[in-house]
Amino acid sequence: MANSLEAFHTRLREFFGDKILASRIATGQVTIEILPDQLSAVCKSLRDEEQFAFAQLSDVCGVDYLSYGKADWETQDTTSTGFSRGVSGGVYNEEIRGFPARFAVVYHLLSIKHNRRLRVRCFVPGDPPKVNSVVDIWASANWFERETFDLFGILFDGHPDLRRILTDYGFIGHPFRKDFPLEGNVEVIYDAEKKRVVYQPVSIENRVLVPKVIRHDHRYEKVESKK
Amino acid sequence: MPEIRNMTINFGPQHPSAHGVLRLVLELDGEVVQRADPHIGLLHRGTEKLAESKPYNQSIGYMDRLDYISMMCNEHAYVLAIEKLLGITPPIRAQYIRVMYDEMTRILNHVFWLAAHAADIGAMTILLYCMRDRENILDCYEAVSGTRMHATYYRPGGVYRDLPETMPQYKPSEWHSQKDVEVMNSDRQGSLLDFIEAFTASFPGNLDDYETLLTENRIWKQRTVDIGVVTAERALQLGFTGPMLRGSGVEWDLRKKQPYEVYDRLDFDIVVGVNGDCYDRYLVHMEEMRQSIRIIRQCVDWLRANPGPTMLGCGQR
Repeated sequence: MANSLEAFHTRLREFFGDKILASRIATGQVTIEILPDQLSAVCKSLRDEEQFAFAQLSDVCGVDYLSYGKADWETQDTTSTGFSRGVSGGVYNEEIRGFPARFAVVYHLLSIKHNRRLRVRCFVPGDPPKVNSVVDIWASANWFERETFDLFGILFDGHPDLRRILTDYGFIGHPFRKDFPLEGNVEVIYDAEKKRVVYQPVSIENRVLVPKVIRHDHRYEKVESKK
Repeated sequence: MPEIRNMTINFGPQHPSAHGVLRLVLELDGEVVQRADPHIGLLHRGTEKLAESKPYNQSIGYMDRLDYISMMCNEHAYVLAIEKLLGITPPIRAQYIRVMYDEMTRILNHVFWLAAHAADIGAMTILLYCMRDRENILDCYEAVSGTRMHATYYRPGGVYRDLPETMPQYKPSEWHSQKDVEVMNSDRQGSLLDFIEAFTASFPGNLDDYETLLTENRIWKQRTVDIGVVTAERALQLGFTGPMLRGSGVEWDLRKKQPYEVYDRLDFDIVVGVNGDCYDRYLVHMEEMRQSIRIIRQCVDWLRANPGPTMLGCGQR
């Protein structure tokens, strides 16, 4: 398996040459990185070339690298007692990798013929970020791209019907961007005076939930008896 | 002659036959839908956003809720991903337990699918029969996790606990006399594995009953044969997987092609349709349940013979 994966990796590099900016094998799967203006050509070859035959597009998703490498949780060491519970807020990793753009679109391909998967990553520059649509190559991209547009605000050039798909009617913003607050911006309530449901600025605050755990087993008997 | 135009109607989002909250804007020519614009986001919860600010193991419960008809399978995918990233393999017993519960979840899912599908098409009898079988599997969920649906049973590195030695019992109530309860509890006298074994013995007979009601039923066939035909090419284009893809005649089963956990040790067949219509997909689902029973039986036998740890210890890989 590892050998054939290596061979497949080499074939990809040979076929596409410098169209592939970077590539690697991680957790049993090849990832290639390409430029957005070559996306359509590369995807077409991946689908139509006999040696690749990626007939299926399993997923398209966006990635926002805005806070990449910044961790809120102190999780460097594993322990048997669990995580540290505090949010440290602003523990910045010094070695943040430089990315060519804030957003990337990731395509997950599946070749049923060769029983193989491939991940294609494409950094999308610009504001708003914009990349060519692959709907004409794989029909399943239609809704996936609508979803990525809806949640990340990435535009897909050539998409036949690029509407929001998951968020509310009249929604403003792109919720999966890292600078979109977890609790959102608006909430809906029933207004008794107007006798209808209205939107208002969100009233809840973001907080960290700390589950209360009550244990009654031998490990805690000593502590309890001391009290 | 009066002008005849297509009619556009709004369906849902709240509608008795919209499962969950689905809104469709439909263009109809008579009774035939010419165009449909589904608005699918009304149940969207932004799970990824919720998971963003939590440790990985606190998000397992969210995965149950992604598809609340096949809870443990979602957990499984999530937990497998964590294990892949960490490079750990759970103990073999945990893998067998997971596979067994995956297949029970498959039956849970297919039975619910059959109930809803048949009720939608007009075969009302099936619905309650199917719920009866579903109830048994939900009891198995409850026995291992304490909850009937959102189990959070699979954990990175294994499962939450080993299979229990006793099953929960029914108690007499206003609706069930002592005598009824004794009958209802007759399969529940032994361990969970005994209960599951009894289920694998009784369920195929129930499946036969459903097939008697449906498979050769004229009305059922009128409403499913040659309806919703999806060719293999189209199915691949649309990214179909699972029984949907197999219904279109593509022999693709991840359990065989890229086996995970212990699927490569188990004996079962891939079920494939021919025509890619609703009827073939129905047949695929039905046969898949029988294959699941086969897998569950093998798992029960193995789990009986091989006690052992169900969770990795500290520092183990």
